[in-house]
Amino acid sequence: MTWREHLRNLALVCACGIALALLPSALSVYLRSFVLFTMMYVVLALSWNIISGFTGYTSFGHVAFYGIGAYACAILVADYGWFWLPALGVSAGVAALVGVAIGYPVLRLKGPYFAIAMLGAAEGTRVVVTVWDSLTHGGLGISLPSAETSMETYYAMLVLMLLTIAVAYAVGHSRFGVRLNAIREDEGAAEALGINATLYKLEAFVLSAVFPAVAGGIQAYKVLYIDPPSVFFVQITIAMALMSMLGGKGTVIGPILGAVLLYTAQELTWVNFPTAHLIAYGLFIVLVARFMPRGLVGFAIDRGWVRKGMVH
Amino acid sequence: MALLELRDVEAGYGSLQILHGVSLHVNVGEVVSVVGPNGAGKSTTFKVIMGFIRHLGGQIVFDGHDLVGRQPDRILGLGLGYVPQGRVVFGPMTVRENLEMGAYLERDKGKINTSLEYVFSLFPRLRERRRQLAGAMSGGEQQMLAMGRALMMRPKMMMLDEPSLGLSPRFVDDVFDRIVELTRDGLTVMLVEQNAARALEISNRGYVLELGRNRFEGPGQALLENPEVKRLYLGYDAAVHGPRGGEPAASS
Amino acid sequence: MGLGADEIVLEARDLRKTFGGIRAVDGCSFVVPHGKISGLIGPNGSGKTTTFNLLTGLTAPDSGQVIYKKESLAGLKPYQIFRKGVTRTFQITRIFREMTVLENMLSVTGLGVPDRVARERAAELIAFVNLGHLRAEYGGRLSYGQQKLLEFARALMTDPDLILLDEPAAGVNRTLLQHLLEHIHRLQEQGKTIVIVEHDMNVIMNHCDRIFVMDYGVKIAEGPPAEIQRDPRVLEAYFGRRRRADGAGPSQGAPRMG
Repeated sequence: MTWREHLRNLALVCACGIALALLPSALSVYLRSFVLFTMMYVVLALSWNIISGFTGYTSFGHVAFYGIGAYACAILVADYGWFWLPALGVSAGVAALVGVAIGYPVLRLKGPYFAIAMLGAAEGTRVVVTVWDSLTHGGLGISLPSAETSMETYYAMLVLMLLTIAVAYAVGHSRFGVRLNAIREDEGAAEALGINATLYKLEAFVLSAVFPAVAGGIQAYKVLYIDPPSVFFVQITIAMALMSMLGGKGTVIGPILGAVLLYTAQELTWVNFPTAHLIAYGLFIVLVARFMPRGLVGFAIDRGWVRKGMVH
Repeated sequence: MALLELRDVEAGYGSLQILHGVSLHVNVGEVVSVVGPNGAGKSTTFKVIMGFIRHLGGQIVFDGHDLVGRQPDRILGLGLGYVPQGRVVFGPMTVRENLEMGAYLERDKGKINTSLEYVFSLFPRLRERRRQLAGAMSGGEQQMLAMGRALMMRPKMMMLDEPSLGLSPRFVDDVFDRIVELTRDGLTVMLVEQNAARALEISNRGYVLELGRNRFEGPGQALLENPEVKRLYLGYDAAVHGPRGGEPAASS
Repeated sequence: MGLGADEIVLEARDLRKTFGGIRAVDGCSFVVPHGKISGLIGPNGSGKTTTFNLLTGLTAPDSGQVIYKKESLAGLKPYQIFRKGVTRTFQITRIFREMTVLENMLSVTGLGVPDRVARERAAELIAFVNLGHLRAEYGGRLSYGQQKLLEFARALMTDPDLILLDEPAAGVNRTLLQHLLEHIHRLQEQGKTIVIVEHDMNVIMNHCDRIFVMDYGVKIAEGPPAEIQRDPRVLEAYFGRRRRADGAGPSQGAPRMG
């Protein structure tokens, strides 16, 4: 990757950012929401990709961080009268701490064991949140004070998405990313080359936890009401994983592409085929897994259309 | 006519060729050993006979049947018994169940029971431990179980891949005693062994392989006493270097 | 480096390791001399691979110590041992297949030098093993021999003092092997200490200054190649020993009958 290529990518992202920034006033509330959700899924897919794509530790429980972020923000805004933006900061902080707490033991597990442990962690988090009702209002959920939040949350999500893209890009094109890849390829060999795998994995894990948490916080402020089942929604984890895999695990553009395509497809099928929506979705997953297991970008790389490589 | 014959056999794994034209034969009732230093291709010889790896050239004929291209289970059905390296027994199953697995291809319950009796008579300790889990037995007992299992199909010839590997000297004695006993019943035995001395001393004939090629062959005793054979093991490349400070000591 | 020739760089002190009831290493001790090429050999099951793994920190000993430059390596993880200047290669190459040659080289950490210097060193080493033209090629697309060279070069990124090679000759054709051995000798001339675990006797006997022979988990002999080749204990370890004089066996030439 030459400097020129980096600049080109930067220009591309800026252009998209500006376009998206100018968009909302021209859109209906529904479409504005749609774009916001798409951006949110870009954030989620890119984050998931850091631990699962680059590092090779496939997590089935990342929705835990999304939920934690949503709750942290909601509690502070609803019960303590905080302004929502600093509350998002706390969302990030809490997610980082929980990330370390969960990550340290769970990252010792490999492959499917890690995936399932994360699933358990997500469910466990949901249960804790439901039960700790003195803090979280348990099953009743939290209602945030009414406000017209559509525009603010749109811009917040846009900023978050650009930030996430920047971080994912930085990881993907740095020595840090090379080492995460090394861990994914062969952890034992990586260790024999001086890579402190435990530390690197934990760093990647925390990084992958923070952005979904902020996204959750923004979401809470947008819909103004959350409860455990709505934020600890396992479909969110599945979506993150699928989008990243569809686009191309382990690349930077892959999850972005996957999120946009899959979310759009999801919305279109839901709107047009409300009953068949899940079937269509399922079929889609099967087809992708069968014919493009390395995702769209992986497919392009295999065909030589795109050059894969982070450090040249 | 030989029971088993290999002529100029070439074989390998993927792009790596291990055997570069190995020839040998085993006559009915013989004990033949295939020995050689590490990397000689001894185990590979068995694997290509059994059809586990890619055959690249040459002929393999057993009891008049061409083995090239056949599936392993068909080859077993022709009367070849194979005891793989490393005492491969089914740990969570009992001794009896392991033996029954050996007769997997046999449908006739009566024949299975007869075979079971035969194996138990050869290996009384297995009879004693028939209800024990295979995983709980000692190395030597597991090796006998592996041999017993191969015998369940009443093969015409047994191929034993490194029976002494990983066994303490006491068990090695035991196992080799059993092998000798097997031959007394007229079974033909082919042995691949790291412990060349042991194998050759119970063999009628032997082949010494090096890097996938034949190097020496002859009566077991003759090979045992041949200093050239021993030199092969310790890297004496006679073609390139002169004698290295004297003859290696003869083995005891 | 602070060490002169003939000084000790690596010491295995009464190492023991048991795996599920089997005493793989049963009190193994030896001292690797500085600046020489040493060989660690032994028949299958002798414990040499386990010993090698103990030396590189891949496994921890049950008892005994590994001492490197007068410091014990006990309790250190592989990445820490690596950072102390001990490097190893693997018998079956473990290069990163989905990463390019250059990325493989740059994945090494603990160099403590700026990025630019690291890249220079990577380029030098890639040239040292004649893989320069393949620097942007994926590891997985290299031939086996090229992968071995890559792993070798990668292990040298930190300019280690002690290099442990796990069966470098395995699966390698004679030309490439000659190539590798030349590199190894060049490294030794630069003052590095090398330990090779090998099965290929020709490699060991013709290229090692000192040889340690293991059997049944202990060291049974050590010395220069000429001595080892004449040592009856070594021959017995590899060739085996006949049974006691009363052992039963077929008489030569008699056909077997039922």
